[in-house]
Amino acid sequence: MMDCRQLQQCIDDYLDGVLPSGELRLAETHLAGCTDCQSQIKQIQELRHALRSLPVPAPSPDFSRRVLARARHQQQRHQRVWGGLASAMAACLVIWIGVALYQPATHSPGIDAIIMGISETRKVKLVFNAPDNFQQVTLQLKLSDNIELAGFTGRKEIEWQTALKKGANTLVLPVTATADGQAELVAHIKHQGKIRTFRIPLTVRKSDAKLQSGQIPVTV
Amino acid sequence: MVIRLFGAKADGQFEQLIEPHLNHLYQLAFRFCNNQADAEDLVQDVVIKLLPRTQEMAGIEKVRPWLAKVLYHQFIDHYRQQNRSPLGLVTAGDDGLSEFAAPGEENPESHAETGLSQKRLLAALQTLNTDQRAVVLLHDVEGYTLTELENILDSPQGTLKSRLSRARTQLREYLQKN
Repeated sequence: MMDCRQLQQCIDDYLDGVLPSGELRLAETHLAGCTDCQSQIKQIQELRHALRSLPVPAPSPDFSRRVLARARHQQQRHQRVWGGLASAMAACLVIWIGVALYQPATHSPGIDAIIMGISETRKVKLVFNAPDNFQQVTLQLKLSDNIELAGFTGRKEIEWQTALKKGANTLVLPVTATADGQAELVAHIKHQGKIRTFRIPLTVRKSDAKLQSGQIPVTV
Repeated sequence: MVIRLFGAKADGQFEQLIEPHLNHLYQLAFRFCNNQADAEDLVQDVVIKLLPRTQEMAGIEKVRPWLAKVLYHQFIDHYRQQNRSPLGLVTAGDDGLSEFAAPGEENPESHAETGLSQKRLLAALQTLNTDQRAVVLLHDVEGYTLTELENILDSPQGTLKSRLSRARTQLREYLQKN
């Protein structure tokens, strides 16, 4: 004989039709005389039916072809971009990429130190120009002792995972200066065991020097 | 030194293996994301991830549950990733730190074409946690057996059964109240 508790334990196998024949007979015998379990079975079946009737809209036109083509395209891109990176890394452990700092009036081909005053918080934008979508990218930020990121007081190292979309990806960093002197914000981008490092120098002055606001475009 | 990031050659083998399952993957992705664009993106991410695993996929006996597992893990990775990021990566032109909405938390009201009961059902599904929703969607909606789900969700059957039972109770209670 099967009781209600035992039926509960095999109710999904019963409904899935995978209950072994011996247990199936016991379950059916129990169900024939138990209105509570009959009711429960009925409720589950109704719920399943309702859930299965939830519509799924068709994907956009040409979905399959597009998905497959994009995967192949991405494959080729990765081979070019990260293959080249790997080659370069054979000669140099950490690649140091020159980045340009756009300023309202001038455009410097290299990196000029960002100048800011103590206790100022300004947004520094890093624009990552990715040639394609990159999944599972790890971004790591390291800050020298005299700067902090607003909202992350005392943290000198922050790391998280994200994805880079094809094109410009802007990372907005609210940088606060805590003491005068030279400072450095280092951003590491890690992907599939490879790493690229970007160094952004800052100069913190005691006076109320204004931060050169602008965007720092880098190419991944 | 050149690292080969992807092992599949463009000989069409990958396409032959994956194409018959793309619609199912999309359907599954839509169940998780409840949004067409996100579902398509999720499938795209999965396909990109699978391309270098062509040979592995060719050796899989039951491809569909295996694909469901890859898709589910991709969904979960993405979901956790978005919740873990201390800073948002935003697209150019957006000055603020982005707030990523968790996939699957779409407003059911956006599906205006669905009937009231479907709206309520979708809303009820949103009350489940990620684990509960996964087991309900994969088992009760898509029809994967608990044996298959043991592998897909990396959980023992006992856990899945109790998760399923609690999820159904929660769904019923929500539907009765609302």
